[in-house]
Amino acid sequence: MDRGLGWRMLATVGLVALVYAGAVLPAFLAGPVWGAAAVAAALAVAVCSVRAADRLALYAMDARLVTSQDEPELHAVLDRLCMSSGLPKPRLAVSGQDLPNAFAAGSGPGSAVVCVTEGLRARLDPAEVAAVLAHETAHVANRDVLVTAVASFPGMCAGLFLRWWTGLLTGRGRRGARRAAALVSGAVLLPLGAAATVLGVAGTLTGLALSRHRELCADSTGALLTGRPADLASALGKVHAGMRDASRGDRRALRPVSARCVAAAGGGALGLLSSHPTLERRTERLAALSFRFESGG
Amino acid sequence: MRIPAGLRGRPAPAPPDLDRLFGVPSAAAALAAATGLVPSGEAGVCHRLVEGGPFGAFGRAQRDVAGLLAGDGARATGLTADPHGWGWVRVTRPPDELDRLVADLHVVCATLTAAGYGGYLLCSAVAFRRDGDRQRCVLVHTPGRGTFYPFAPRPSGEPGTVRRNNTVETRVREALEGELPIEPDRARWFPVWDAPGL
Repeated sequence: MDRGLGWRMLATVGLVALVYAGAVLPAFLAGPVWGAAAVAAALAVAVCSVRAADRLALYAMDARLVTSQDEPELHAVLDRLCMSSGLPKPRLAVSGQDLPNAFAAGSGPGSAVVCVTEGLRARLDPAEVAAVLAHETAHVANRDVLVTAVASFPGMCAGLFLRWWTGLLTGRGRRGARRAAALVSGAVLLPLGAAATVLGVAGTLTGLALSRHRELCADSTGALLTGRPADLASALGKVHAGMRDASRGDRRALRPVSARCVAAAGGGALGLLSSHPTLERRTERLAALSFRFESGG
Repeated sequence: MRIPAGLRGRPAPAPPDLDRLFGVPSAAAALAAATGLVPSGEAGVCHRLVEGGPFGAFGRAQRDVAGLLAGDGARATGLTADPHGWGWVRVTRPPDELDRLVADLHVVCATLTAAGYGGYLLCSAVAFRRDGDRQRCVLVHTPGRGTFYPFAPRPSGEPGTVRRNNTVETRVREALEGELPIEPDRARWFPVWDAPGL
């Protein structure tokens, strides 16, 4: 059943590798030393961003780490998920936000954090909370945070460069001779800007495609781990409904981590610009798993 | 092997190792000699309540388990479920029939494994108690890793503030170290608050 998904995943990983090669190759044109330096710099920044990402995500969500004395119920569920999956136990955090959502952060099973919001606990049944925690545990087991961070990094860098470059061209905040100089240097950098545009678009699209695949993988891994796909399907339905009814400000508060949440809102009619698959697609796959469990296959 | 499986997003289920359960009766003698903890006759298997309804494949496996355990009048059995989707198959026998109690646990685990639900067995637990004080302890077997660990809550304490008795757990580990494979990673001695006999 997962074979098609696996192959598409490998294809996406290949695309991401191409994007990386596209980012580093121009530096090799200037000489092998510069090329090696560019590779080293890209690796260093990627490692740093992955290392700091979990603290940043928790800070952005206003989440606090909780012990088993604070939250015995959530810890008991997480204990059991770790017992059956064989993972080391991730740290557990609770965010005070009223939106129903959850996310995992941290680069690997050893240093992972799983965070749920108060809104999720208030709106979901215990079995559905367990299903959401299993989905996040699956993200940790599959090292998805690391994979998505590595995949989205070239696109992010290209976006930063593009912002700076368009600033040069439009002459924002500059006057007279300085503005003319900025315009000239912007024109000189035109090939680089064009390259960054291509890289940014390609990197963002492949990154988002990878993220959608990883979500489907985590859905089925989590559902196989718990043996109850229907719980996850109903939890996803409630999370989607909660996100749809939420105010714009509430949704904005979630934006820093929205790509990592169990479900995100919106993302364009095409679906290409969305970090998560549609609810219909996910429920369809979970229903297929449910059918398998029922018939014992 | 682990990383490619992770990249493709697939779980890697381990086949459960159940035969080590039969080492519990001889280990219990060593445990009684060293710590004074004796079997209380209660035991259970915790497993995931896999969905599918009463007429699905898992419901059939559960009926098989219930049918196999129903034959003997010397034991009392029952199934309890928690709201998060796990359940305990509980077995109670007279305290001196530990080997038959362990055989019952093995029957439950083997039946569920044969039906294809070996990956959904969470643990088996055998309860011990000490005469004189109210100290309870369960010996937990995790089939995925094939190891045992003790879990002992403090006897005195209000509900909700109960903590684990690390001293008792350490002494149990020392008593059993040569008898059973003890889980080496203490972070994996996960508490089972709702185990039978606690």
